[in-house]
Amino acid sequence: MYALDFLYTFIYKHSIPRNKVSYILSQKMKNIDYIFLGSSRVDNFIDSEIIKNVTGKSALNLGFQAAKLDDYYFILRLLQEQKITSRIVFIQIDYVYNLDGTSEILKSSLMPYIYDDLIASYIKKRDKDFIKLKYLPFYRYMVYDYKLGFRELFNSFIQKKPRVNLANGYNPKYETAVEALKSSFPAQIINENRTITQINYFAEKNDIQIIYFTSPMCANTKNLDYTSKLSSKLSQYLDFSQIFIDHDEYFFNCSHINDDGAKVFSEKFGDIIKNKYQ
Amino acid sequence: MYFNSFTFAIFFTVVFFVYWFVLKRRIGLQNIFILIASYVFYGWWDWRFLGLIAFSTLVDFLLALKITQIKDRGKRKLFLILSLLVNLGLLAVFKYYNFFIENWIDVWASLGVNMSKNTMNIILPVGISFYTFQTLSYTIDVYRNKMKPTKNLVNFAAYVAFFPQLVAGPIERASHLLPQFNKDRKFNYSYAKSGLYLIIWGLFQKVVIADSCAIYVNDIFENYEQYNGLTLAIGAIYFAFQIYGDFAGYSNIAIGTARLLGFDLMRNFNYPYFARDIAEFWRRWHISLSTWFRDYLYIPLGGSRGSIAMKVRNVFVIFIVSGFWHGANWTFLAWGAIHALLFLPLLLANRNRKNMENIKLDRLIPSLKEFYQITFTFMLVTCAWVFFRADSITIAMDYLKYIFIRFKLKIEYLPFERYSVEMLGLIILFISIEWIHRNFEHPFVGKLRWLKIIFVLLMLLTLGVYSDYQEFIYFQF
Repeated sequence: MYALDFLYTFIYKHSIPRNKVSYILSQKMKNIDYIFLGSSRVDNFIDSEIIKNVTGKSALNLGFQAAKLDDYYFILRLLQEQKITSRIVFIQIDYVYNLDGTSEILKSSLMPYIYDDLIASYIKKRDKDFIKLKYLPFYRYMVYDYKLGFRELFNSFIQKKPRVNLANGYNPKYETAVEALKSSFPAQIINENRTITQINYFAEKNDIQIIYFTSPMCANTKNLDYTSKLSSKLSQYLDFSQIFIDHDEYFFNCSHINDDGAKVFSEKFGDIIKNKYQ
Repeated sequence: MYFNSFTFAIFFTVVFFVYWFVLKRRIGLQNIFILIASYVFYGWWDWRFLGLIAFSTLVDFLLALKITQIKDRGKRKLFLILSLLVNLGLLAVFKYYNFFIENWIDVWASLGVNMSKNTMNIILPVGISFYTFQTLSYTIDVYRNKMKPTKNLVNFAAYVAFFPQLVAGPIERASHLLPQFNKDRKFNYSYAKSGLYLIIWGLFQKVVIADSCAIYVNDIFENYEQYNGLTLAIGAIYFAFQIYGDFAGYSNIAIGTARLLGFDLMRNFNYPYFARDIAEFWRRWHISLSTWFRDYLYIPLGGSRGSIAMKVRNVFVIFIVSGFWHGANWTFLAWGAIHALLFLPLLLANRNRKNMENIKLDRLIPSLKEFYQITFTFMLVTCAWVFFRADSITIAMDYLKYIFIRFKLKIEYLPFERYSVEMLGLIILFISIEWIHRNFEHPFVGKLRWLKIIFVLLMLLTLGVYSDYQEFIYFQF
């Protein structure tokens, strides 16, 4: 078990980056003009290359599937630890304002680095199995076999490039929705989200400009006025939730746009950055 | 408590040491301990199930004694019928009540009569179909004077609830397992070792083969309308190996666990996918159930004797009942009926006992004819499995139809970031291992057995599915 644990960790740490966490950890002392943080509603939505072409500035998509605010805060701190600076960090926000929790996908990517202090403290707070994950040899790779199993190990070993260009970070969805689109925002918004307060405090302390934004939703979304409630809670906020309400062809499903939609959205976003924040 | 869980590992370690080292050679105490351990194991799911198994045990224990005490044939039969009513009644209530009510209402609704749905929110007790059949066979055998009833309630209760095989078989006959509770048990190193080998192989079948296939199967069957024919065909093959790995894996762990306690359980699978026809498949698949149906249903109905109409009736009865045993759903009935249709031509042509012996064991590669027969049988079985896995008969029909009308030689990339064909390599490796060792119950034989064990353990660790826990399929039956 020790030998397997050592082998897996060694290969993951010494192969080319194959996920966004290992990409961040492979970068140091770098400046990226615009960083986009969020869940799949960033991961599948923002083509950094288009942002770069429109604004003439560098950009990076750091969206993680199923990520929550707590995860964004962690990524911010990880970026700081790696001395990766940014002029503006755009943080996607919507129903996640009402939610707690963490992304299992993000957590799985952190396992090879569990002995890093920041990463260890993040996992410790969020996983009751932390002791087992850290001290039982190979346990972390068994528990996260789906993302860190033999298949991923083999791909890392042969230095296979990931499907997503990590320097861009955009992970497109190519299909268009075939079923009726339907989704909903919460009817009410919670009074205060503590993580937002922490993120704002962290940004202020480290001189990072944070802009919150809501990604597009389909027309058939219940409680779309939720974004006006969000707007009242956040000082710097961009609402894109309704920009595609007449364009069902841009959706993969009601809360996720496809590649065509992402290209249009990234252009619009780039224009706003260029006109408003440069 | 599942065999492939950490809890079971601790539970069994404690049981093993107390059983052999604390209670050694004290057979009465060992049996009481097995009974307690079995009830703890079963109660782990839901303690309310314990009342049911205790009731079933007590009823059959008393009725069997009563049957032997009475000389009058009519009265004996009456007590047998009482046992059948109680056991099948439990099954009817807990497993089939909602199915019958829903279908009854649907029939009336189709005639324009609307009735209120008086379905009950019933939890299906785990393993009820297995232990009910076990207790049934006991009273029937006593009635037939094939065995004498036991007067020891503890032994009988331990036989019914014996935890290695309680929830998913093998369905043990009382004549085989019950006498083992009366015999003095000595720890036999080589027997225990063979049990351990079976457990390792069973875990491999379950955690590496079945659970890996399950990830693909779940996605492909749930989104079958989106995929091309090749992916659907591969999905069906994956399910064939999922259910085999799952159930044969469970059976091997059960047999292995029993051996570690000094008990012998019957073999439940004998490489069924190497069968050359459907009849042979049924001699190799879920042997404890198929022989149960043969002895307690098929033969009493007349078996393969009588007119053609009788033969046809008997075949359909046994296969449809077998399908229904799996669950209260039309898909299982369809699965049983398909097997009846596949079996019938062999029976009518008197070819159902043609392939009784194993394929020649001295040859590494089968002959072309054997290869064709095995592949063809596997394809038939796999098509039937589609009905077993699908949510409805319509979906199963569509699934099979799409395999042909949407067939494209294009490997699809599935939403969970795997290519559809990725599991095939592992399945081919699995088939090869099984083929080479088809004359043994597990592959850990010969001079290279330690190498094989290390290789399988490594695969268990590195290729096993631990993140996406899959229950044993047969627990639901």
